[in-house]
Amino acid sequence: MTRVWLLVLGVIGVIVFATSLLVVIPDTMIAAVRPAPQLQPYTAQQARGREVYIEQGCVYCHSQQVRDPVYTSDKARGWGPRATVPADYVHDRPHLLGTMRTGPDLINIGVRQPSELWQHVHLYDPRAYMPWSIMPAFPYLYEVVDAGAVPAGKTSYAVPGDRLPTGKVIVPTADAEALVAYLLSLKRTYPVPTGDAGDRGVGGRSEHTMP
Amino acid sequence: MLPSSLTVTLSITVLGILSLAAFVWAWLTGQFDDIERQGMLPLDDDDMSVLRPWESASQKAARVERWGPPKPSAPGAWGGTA
Amino acid sequence: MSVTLPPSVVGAVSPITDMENLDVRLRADASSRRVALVAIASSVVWLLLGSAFGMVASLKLHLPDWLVSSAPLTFGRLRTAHLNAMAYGWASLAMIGVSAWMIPRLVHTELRVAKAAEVGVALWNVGVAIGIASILAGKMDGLEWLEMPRYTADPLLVLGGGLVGFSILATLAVREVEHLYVSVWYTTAAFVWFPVIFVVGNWPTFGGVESAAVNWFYAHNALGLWLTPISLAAAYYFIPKILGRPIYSYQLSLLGFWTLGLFYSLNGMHHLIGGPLPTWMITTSIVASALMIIPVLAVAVNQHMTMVGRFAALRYSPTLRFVVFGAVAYTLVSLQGSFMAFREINRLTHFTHVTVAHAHLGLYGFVTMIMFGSIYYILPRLLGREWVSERLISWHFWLVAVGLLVYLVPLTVGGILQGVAMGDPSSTWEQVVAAMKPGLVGRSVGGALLTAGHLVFAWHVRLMFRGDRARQGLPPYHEVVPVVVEGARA
Repeated sequence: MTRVWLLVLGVIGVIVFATSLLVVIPDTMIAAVRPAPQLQPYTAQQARGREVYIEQGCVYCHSQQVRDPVYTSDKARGWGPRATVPADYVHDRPHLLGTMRTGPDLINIGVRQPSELWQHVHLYDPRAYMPWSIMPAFPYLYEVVDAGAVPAGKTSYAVPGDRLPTGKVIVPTADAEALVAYLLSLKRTYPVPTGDAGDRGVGGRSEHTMP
Repeated sequence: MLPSSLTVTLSITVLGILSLAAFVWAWLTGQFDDIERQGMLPLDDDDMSVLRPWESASQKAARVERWGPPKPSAPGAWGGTA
Repeated sequence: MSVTLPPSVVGAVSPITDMENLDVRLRADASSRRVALVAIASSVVWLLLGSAFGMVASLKLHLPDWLVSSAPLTFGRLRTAHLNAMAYGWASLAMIGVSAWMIPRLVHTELRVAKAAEVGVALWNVGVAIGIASILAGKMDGLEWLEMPRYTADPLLVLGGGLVGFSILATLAVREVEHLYVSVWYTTAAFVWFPVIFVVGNWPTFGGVESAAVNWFYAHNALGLWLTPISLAAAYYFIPKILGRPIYSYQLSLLGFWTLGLFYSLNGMHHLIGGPLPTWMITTSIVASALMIIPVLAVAVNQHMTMVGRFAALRYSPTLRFVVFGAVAYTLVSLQGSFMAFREINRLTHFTHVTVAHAHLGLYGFVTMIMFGSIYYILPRLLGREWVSERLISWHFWLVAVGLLVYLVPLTVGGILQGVAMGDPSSTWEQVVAAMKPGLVGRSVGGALLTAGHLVFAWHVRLMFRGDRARQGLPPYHEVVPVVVEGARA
């Protein structure tokens, strides 16, 4: 090979091909996906909570997708009544699908753990509820105050276990409130929207075609 | 397993034909001639005639026969301190 | 072409080389010296930082209450800082240094616009520093492998890498050697591919599952079209160079190059198997992942057949030890990857630590080991002195070779057990965590050995740069000793 320009042309051709196939074409197809009416955009607080989720690196241990019950046991494990589909994620920018499950899947955590108390205590000290948990604790998202000295208008929570001295309670910071608001918004249990299903193979369908 | 989209199939076919055409053109214009010599590019005569301590007697003999009088290696020639 | 040297040097002959070849090498090395040295030195700094981040992150997984009181030290940020420091700090900068050194050697031409490349290396370093600091501060873009902020850190990488690439292309444009060796193909391709995929990956308009497709299009291509090609380029250079024989089948290496580009670039969706994406995209990636066997076997056959009959060289050459280790690891990790892309296997391994172990077999076993080997060859030639201690090299090699094994085996086993437990819907999450935990501890032990190896290596590199313990009495081997000879040619 003696011609650099030929090499560079071939190299550019390779990446243009791959980008067209896996980025450009799918983008035009997926752009047409519409969310179900039950899926609302995130509120400002939930959106902030999503940012906090990213800032703490939650995605590195938690996924947000339910795989097809024909394929694997996500549904049997109670992570959702159905596999998740592209329409479930239209408001997610960026996606947080995740590739690790050191912890459980969270796409329907708002259904499984709807209690703010549970969520806050768990974030403050995961081992308060589950001594075997290896999840990091996030005490810096909380202020520790005397039980009698909770600021007006703020909710406080008592924490079981040894982390908190007796007589103290935790008061969530605004970020903690936002994060929990986001987590509680994670519910994808409505029926699969069928609007874009059909010959383009996207919209209502995901990887359901496993034999 | 076949993609349901006509656009995808068409794009793959077009780009595939273009790449094949480029490859054939390169071949016909002699880009792949003299392949053997191209494989020798990182090596100069010194690389070839230096004696290597791990080579067997017959390997050494072949080297001397092909590349001439053997030269001693310098320290660090193999990327360490030897 | 030869240069006219001053009379005192004319006819000077070092014991090993004749003038023409020596001249070419000296000039090539002199032109790339600053770029390569700065890139390599900074890469070693990032290696140490990345090791620290990795060690703390690994320990936190089985000591979850350690260092939790401040946000920059939370697992999610340290793990991310580790990945980015290693991928963009250590590996990328080492590769940039090795590339800048190799290209002039291969085209017998001094590196052109080397100043631009030097600026590029500096910009890249600044970009990574901003990126890591941002990650620790929690300012992440939220996409795996793309966490460094897209408007502050990332442009510096695109610009910096682009400047180095520009320097390389400028050198190729005026080169002495007409033919382009396969390492030149791989290196040039990598410098063209990286900015394209990095910009696409960071493009801010994607959302939803499309953002996932773009994310993994980028991340897998960072492995396949940036980290892999330059590492292969180094292997294709050093194995023949040290053995003194050409690659077994040059035709095979050309086939390997084009099939690598074509197939590897389509692999990305295999990170999303089972996920909410159109089936055709996922299947395309699975097929492409299986087709990877072609370029991988091409490389394996080539490198094995070149080595065959000469494995004794591994006892004499540390560079070869590291590079061949890396080449073997490349074959293993790619076969493992093709295997893991099949849905039946992926059903077990997806979301588990098997993936993490696989990533480290690739990034450490393949890329990092080849970079170590390359640096052991290059630094003496750029600094004009030898490595101080054979023992330090040996300690380095064995610490990291054993360390990698101790890292990979427990973590893979732990990951498999995790996958089995996850696949059984009647198991509790407590059981899933219990299944993975011993593997996580084993990984920390392995990581500690690797970190120890890095400290040995970094110490040795420091001694090398300082040069105060260089062996006395032996001339730096590539310097010319002036000798006046009658009737010498000019």
